[in-house]
Amino acid sequence: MVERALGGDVEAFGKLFEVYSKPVYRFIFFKVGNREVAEDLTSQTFEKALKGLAGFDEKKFFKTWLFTIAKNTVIDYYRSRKNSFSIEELEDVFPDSEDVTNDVQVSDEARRLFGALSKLKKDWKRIVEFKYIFELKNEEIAYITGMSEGNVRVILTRAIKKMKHIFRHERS
Amino acid sequence: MKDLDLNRIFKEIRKTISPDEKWLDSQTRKFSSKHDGKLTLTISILPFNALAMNRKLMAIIVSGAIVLTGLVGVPVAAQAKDVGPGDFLYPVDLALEDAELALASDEDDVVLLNEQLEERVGESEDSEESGEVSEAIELYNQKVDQLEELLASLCQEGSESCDEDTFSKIETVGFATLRHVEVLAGVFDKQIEKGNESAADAIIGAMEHSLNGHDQAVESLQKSRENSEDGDDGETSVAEEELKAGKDKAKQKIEEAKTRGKGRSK
Repeated sequence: MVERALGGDVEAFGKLFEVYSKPVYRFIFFKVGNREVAEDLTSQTFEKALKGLAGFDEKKFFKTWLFTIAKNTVIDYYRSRKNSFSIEELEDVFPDSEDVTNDVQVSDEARRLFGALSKLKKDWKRIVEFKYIFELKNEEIAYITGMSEGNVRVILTRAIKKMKHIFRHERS
Repeated sequence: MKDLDLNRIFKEIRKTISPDEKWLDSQTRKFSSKHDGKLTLTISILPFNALAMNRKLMAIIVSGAIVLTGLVGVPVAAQAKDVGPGDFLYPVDLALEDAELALASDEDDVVLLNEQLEERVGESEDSEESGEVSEAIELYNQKVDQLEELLASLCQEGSESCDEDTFSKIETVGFATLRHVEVLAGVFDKQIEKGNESAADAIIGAMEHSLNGHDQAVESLQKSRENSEDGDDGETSVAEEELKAGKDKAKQKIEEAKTRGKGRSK
């Protein structure tokens, strides 16, 4: 589909939007915590992707490329509001998923899951979010984090086990 | 205690944290029309007999044609839709299908191959000429082989976790292949009526092929259950039970068709 879009296929980019807009939206929502802002920044992300499509390296993963654009779009958004932050500082400004979802109607189970997620180590939590909320494949997570696919798989298994343990512990 | 299904909760979260549907529709329309006028190629500029062309060569030509922009006309993809065996554009249609498959992920491949199987079955139903039926059937068998291979590679131990989506896609294939046996039985009768025995024989082969595809789907479902993150609870799903029951009926259909074929040729 990416190749078709690169070739100028009329509908291919629209299809790409259909496939990737939800995970990108979720990723942005988790960084800004506001539906309208998340929609606006998602739209901006795809505008930028469309403009930069010709420069996309086909050897890379399209989805990770898109997430990089989304992340930069969020950084631009925060900068426009408070331009004294450095990129490193901005990483810390991103709200926690547990806080972000405070204003969203989710079930108790989901809220407890966020609670369990927040108790994981920072890199484990990030990998779980990439996998289960932003729907990235293991190889894409490995590409973004610089880890091996095997390492990603092991962390995911341990993180899920740990989350289940936290869940059960809380129940009892 | 029942095992905790985190996948289900994550799925619920993904569903909850989704953009507004109306916004999605409007944006999809917006991004679909951004490229208007760029991809264009009239089929009339193809200076050769597409029917006689090798499919791989055709795929290369189609891909090459797609990157050409600025020519006047309609996209090949749009023109090549709804064509069947015997049509001038049919090889273009098949080449586009191959290109689509090459670009999709394994799980999307399951869906695409299943759609392509449906198309081949539909073509065998619609074709009047014996040769065209045989062509559709041959392609159907090839697609079943491809699908079987793909299903066998999914949800292996140590591969990425098999989620519910993959499971339901495999289920769809399992049910689709059973339906194909029924449809093909109708095509078989039509060909027998016409006295096209060679096409009828090929159809019996395709029905058996469908059943092999079905077996692979059931096997993959079992494997995906065993290799799932939460482990195998040893219980088969309702769908798996239905698939097994459906197989017996399909086998019976094939036997009946064989008997009708034999009776006719006596």
